[in-house]
Amino acid sequence: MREDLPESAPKAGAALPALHWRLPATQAAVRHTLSAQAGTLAALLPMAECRHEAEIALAEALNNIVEHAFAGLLPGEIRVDAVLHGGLARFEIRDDGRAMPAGPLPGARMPSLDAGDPLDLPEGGFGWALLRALTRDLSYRREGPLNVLRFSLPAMPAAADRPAAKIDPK
Amino acid sequence: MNMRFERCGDMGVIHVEETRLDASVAIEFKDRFRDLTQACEGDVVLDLSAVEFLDSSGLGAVVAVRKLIGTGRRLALAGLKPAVDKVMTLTRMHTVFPIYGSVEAALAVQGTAEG
Repeated sequence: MREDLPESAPKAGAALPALHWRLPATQAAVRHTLSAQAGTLAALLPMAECRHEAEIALAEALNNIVEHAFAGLLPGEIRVDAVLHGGLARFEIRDDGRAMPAGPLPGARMPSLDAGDPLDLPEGGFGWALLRALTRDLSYRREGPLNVLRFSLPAMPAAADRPAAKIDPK
Repeated sequence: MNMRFERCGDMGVIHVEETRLDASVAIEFKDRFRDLTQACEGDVVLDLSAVEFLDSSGLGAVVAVRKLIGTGRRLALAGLKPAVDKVMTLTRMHTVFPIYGSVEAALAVQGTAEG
């Protein structure tokens, strides 16, 4: 039985766009990588809107790793790998920092902005909620000494009349 | 962190001359903003037209400086690039901050609105 080929099946000899980043787990390296590797992200996601969403999602995921997986530890290594498959860019981010606490992934809700007083506006808690809002199939697993975060992002912008992505409770 | 203050009548404009407002510059952004707006008493327009990218840390810093200028003054955002606008929309910050396409538009509207 023949399997349907993914939409992005390459012609013979053509390389699928892919992405392989290796960086130390520091804020400066995250900033530098996102800037210096903009071209490889653009090769994977040439549509500007999709690329912007990917950059935001990657920044949030990578910053979380630096701030939490390596808090109080010497910076380890972060690996970001991505391939295109079936109209989606599938990302896998691995790090050798400490494991996430057990339980559901954070960010089930975007922080509320209902404060009447601007002085009560939240300054944090947006990172995971942004990651959830932008991505599909977000998952975290511990695999031996590694944290493995996976998510997908569309390679084509959403249709104009489609509602914004809902945040699924996890 | 390159930022420049410009007085425009009763208002002040903070021009952020950096392309990325993220975790590694968030603290410096807040400190510079505080220093630059000390001498200004009116509403402030934050010119983000040079900022290509802003993440949740940059967003938190913008909220923090909103609090810095206090409840009697407004903070408007101007010149949002697409990736920055996307973050503002997803977090619904566009319901909290007046957002304009340009500094000129912000000054025209904010300057005439009742304080």
